[in-house]
Amino acid sequence: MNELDESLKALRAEARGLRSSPESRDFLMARFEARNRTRSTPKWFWSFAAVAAALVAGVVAIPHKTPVAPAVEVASDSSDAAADPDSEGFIAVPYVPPLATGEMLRVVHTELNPAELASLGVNVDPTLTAQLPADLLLGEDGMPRAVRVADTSSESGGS
Amino acid sequence: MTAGMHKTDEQLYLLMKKGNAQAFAELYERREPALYRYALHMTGSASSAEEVAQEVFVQLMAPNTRFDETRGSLEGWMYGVARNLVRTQRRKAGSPVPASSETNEPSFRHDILGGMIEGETLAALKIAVSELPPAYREAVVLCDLEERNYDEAARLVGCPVGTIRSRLHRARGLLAAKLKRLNAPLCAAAR
Repeated sequence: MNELDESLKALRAEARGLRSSPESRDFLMARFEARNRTRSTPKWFWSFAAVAAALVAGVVAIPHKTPVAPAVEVASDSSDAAADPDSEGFIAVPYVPPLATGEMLRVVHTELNPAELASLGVNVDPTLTAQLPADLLLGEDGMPRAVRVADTSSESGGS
Repeated sequence: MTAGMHKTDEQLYLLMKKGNAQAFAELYERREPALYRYALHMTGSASSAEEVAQEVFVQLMAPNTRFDETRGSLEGWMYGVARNLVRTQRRKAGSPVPASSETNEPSFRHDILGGMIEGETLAALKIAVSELPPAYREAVVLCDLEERNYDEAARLVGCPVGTIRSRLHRARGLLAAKLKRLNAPLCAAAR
């Protein structure tokens, strides 16, 4: 048995420094990194994103501007109104596509805050915080072509 | 590394599961050499041993790793995977591969008159170990070559301590007999 013990000891010593090649280690580390890259967005992220998207969709779906009198009337069947929106106190909204000839227009009564009015090209007192009644002249595509701050005294309905 | 900074295998495992490459590297450095040697002694093939050791870590990093801390240590799990892989390799190979077949060692049987008796005895021992029944070989590898105590070996193999003890006793008897038989022509040549 002594000879066996000695031989086992020698075999143990011989194997002591043995291990896999550096290439094997490199392969594993690269694989680990690659796996992490693919799973850098954890499962909970997608759940969170789905909930967030649903919330955003819900918020967008809720109309912010409650029309005072929704889609009150169809204004004109000629393009003249759009061509000359100032004619009825409307201010043309800049940087919007022009109306086509014969395009139907409609006026929508709504309330807009000063910042929104400013974005439509209306000069308002920036210190105001309250929403102001306004009329929007919309094209068939739903885009506003002109805006008019309604006179509260004449807010009785039509444009 | 101080004792305070030393992390257990299980802690490193949790960190690596969160994507910590350093934890994975540390676990690899800590466990890979022994796993490789275990596979080398069990298969007798350096390339098979590397394959086994690598596959253990591939399985460890897999998203569906079935390691359960409540059922045992990570080291035990790794040895379990390695043992299964060795078994699969053995099944594929059909029969045990002689230990010297891929280690660039001169064949014992063909180099009897060749050189140093000590080297030949070592080669003979490798052959003898490779010819042991797998369960006995595993006991020798873990206790005699990897210097695990009986408790550790039993934990890694997943059997009672008494089983390891008896397997080792039986394995040593077989090894001694095989060595004697294999060394007989060598001794005669030396005389």
